[in-house]
Amino acid sequence: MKVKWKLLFPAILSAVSMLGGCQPQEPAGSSAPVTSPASSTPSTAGTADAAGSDGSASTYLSDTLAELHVMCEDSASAPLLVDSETIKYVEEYLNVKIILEAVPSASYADKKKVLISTDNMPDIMKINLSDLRQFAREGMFVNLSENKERLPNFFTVLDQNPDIYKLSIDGEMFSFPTMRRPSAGDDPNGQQPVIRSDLIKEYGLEYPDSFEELYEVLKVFKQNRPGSIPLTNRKGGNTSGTQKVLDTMAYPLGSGSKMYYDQDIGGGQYVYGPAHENFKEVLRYLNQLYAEGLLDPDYATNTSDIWKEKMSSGKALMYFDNTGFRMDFEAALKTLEPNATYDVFPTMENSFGQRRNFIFEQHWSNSHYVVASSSENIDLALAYMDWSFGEQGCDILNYGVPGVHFDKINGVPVMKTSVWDAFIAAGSNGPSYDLQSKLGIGLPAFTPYVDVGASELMKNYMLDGEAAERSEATAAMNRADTGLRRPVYDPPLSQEDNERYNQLLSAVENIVVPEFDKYIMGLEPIENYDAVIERARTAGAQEMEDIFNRANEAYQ
Amino acid sequence: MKKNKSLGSRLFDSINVIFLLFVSIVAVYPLYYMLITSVSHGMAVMQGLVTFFPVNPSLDTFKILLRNNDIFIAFKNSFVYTLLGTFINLLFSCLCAYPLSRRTFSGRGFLTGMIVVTMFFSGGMIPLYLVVQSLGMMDTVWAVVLPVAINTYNMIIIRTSFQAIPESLVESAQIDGANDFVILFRIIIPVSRAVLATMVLFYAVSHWNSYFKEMLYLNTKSKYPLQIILRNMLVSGLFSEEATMAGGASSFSVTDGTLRSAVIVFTTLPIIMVYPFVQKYFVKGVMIGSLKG
Repeated sequence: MKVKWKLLFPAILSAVSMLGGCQPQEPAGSSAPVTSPASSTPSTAGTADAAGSDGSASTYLSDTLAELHVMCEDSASAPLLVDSETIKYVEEYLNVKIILEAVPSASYADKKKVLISTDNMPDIMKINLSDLRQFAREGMFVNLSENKERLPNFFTVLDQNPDIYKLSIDGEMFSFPTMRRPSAGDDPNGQQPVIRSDLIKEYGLEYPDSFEELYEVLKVFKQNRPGSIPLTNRKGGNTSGTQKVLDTMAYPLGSGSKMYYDQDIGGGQYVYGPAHENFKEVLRYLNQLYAEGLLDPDYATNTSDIWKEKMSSGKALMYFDNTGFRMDFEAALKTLEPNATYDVFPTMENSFGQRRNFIFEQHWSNSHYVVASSSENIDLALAYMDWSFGEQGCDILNYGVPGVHFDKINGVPVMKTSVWDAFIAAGSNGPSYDLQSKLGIGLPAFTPYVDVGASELMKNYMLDGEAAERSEATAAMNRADTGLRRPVYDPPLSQEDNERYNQLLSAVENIVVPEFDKYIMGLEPIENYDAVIERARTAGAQEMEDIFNRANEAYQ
Repeated sequence: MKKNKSLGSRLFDSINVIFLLFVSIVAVYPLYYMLITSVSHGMAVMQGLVTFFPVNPSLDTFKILLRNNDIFIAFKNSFVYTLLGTFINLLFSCLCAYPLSRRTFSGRGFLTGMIVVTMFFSGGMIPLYLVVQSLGMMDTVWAVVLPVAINTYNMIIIRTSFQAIPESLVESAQIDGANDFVILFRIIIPVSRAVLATMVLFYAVSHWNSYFKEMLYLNTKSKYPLQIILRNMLVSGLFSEEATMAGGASSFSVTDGTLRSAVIVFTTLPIIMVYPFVQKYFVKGVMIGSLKG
């Protein structure tokens, strides 16, 4: 047979063309283009913060226009605009161009891992606590504690919020946690009970003051509306419906669904909830509700959509979750039941005589900005980040352009109502999200030090008379509710403790998690849970608590 | 002449029709449901009132969807990536399949084996990322179309199809002085339209639906394809409790539920529209590739 070597040509051509077709280009995001040398940032944020807002050269962080590549999560509700008004203003004001790499939040984790694994991080990047703990020790991020004198604004804010130091790694800060500056409109709220207040009135009931009273109220609901689901829930983002029920109700009922700090046990200590005696009360109560049809029979499998459908159609009458949803549900339900109302009510007393519930944490401890050690713009990146924690930086990154979008009145930034009006008049479904997106301000934008005043006060501004009154009444109720507590951050663990803890956690969760539904559904008598507790503590729950409590003592 | 069927035969036909009707409904209803929820009032969708027909139909959801400028840019990008990507796929797949289909090609068994190995083993995400980066393709269209220039499975189907063409046809062309390029582009490809049309569909659908490599290799938002933007809307949702405050109950004409459906309709519609044009080649093309070896 005649051998035809020349047939190799098309095959080789295909490979060569594939390679030849690519023109070498500078990989975007892997290195910053124009850099400002360390000497070009002589004043860092101190000067920038002290200067006026006229964009004069004294506010510059760099002598020449410098670029900083920043990778952030891009949410669909408030898309990141690479040329938002604030970014343009910052460029003029600081002589720093922020190049935003907006990665969709749905894919952010994948991209982040690849960039970290290949050491191709942009100058500044958003990561979570788990990434911080995993990669900081490997030298991937700039050690901020070693640069303390260059970060006066940041460390001033940290000193005002000492709990944040718990997010350090081996006593050193490697990240700029996303932190909250106290502001007007920033009222405490959390995953609280929301109930059909119109039915409370209709059936001549009072808001339940204890969980036992809640049980009675739900029974009355069920008697009067036999086809309804008195209490429902949804699944969590990455957790099951069962876990969501426990995450929202275990602490108010006197225990916890995972490792948490319990002020009411032993004068305050870290406890792994499901391996503690008090957890039996949580399971007993939920089983009682389940057995009598008061808890949604589909509690373990409810999705967010199913939950919304049940709450909007009058099929379900109460939930423990984010209270903001009640307005959606109420408006939808009013088309079917014009008198329907949903309201939040105060923290109930549990069977241990405690009134307690978590409110959302003050800061965003799972959201961090880090400066890449491989960045060619470390000095500029640090200067910029410190500026953002200063007063002016925080004002601009949360309220927009001074004089255009907000004014400083008695030292407090106040958004112009004309700006709000323009966004409301635009008729979108989420004016405050549009505001944050277009202006490039607040939490959805690249803002490490967040002041939610602009968006939260705008929401209040949009409410009509009665809704505004109810909203204010809820806020006042929460402010007066002594049972609402901020969660306590986990103590910083050494690398060895962290690895051991994760190892134990996996073993213990394998024991307890499959048991929850059995007890809630009554497949096992509650007395048998003692054996589960025993197994969990032997498998490592006790050691996990010891690791946390020892680390907490060391931290203190 | 009409042939009388037995009772058993008629019973079988009836059951068959009912069963296939049921299967068709099961297959079509989800798509139909997406369509009717996308044009229904958001409140009705939220309350679970939409089952067989749209409730208070309107195009508000599509108006909201299309108000987003990113979508048009992304649509254009997807279109470009799909066209360019499919062209490159076909070109390289044919260039690779042709020599492997010739019995006179020395070492084709070894090369085929090496190529088939890539169906089962790959370097993994990070090595591929580093290769793309070191070739300078990051944040360019080439990063999207070149790493997937050849799909081994599709290339083997094309090769098998080429193999079925009589050797004498090639030999007669060679006697007439045709070289391999002429034989490939003037003879082999024209007589393989069925399989190539099928490949167009396979490759185009895969490019149209792709989002992961685009997310990985593209950094500039204006280069994102449609799927990245829409997936983000699907996963993270678009609206919040604020919708109520903004305009009361009336603003509920669009909700996350209707938007999700609209996104799905918007994404699948273009590719569904392409299908009828290549459908006649589809079965024939796959059969050629799969049955003859």
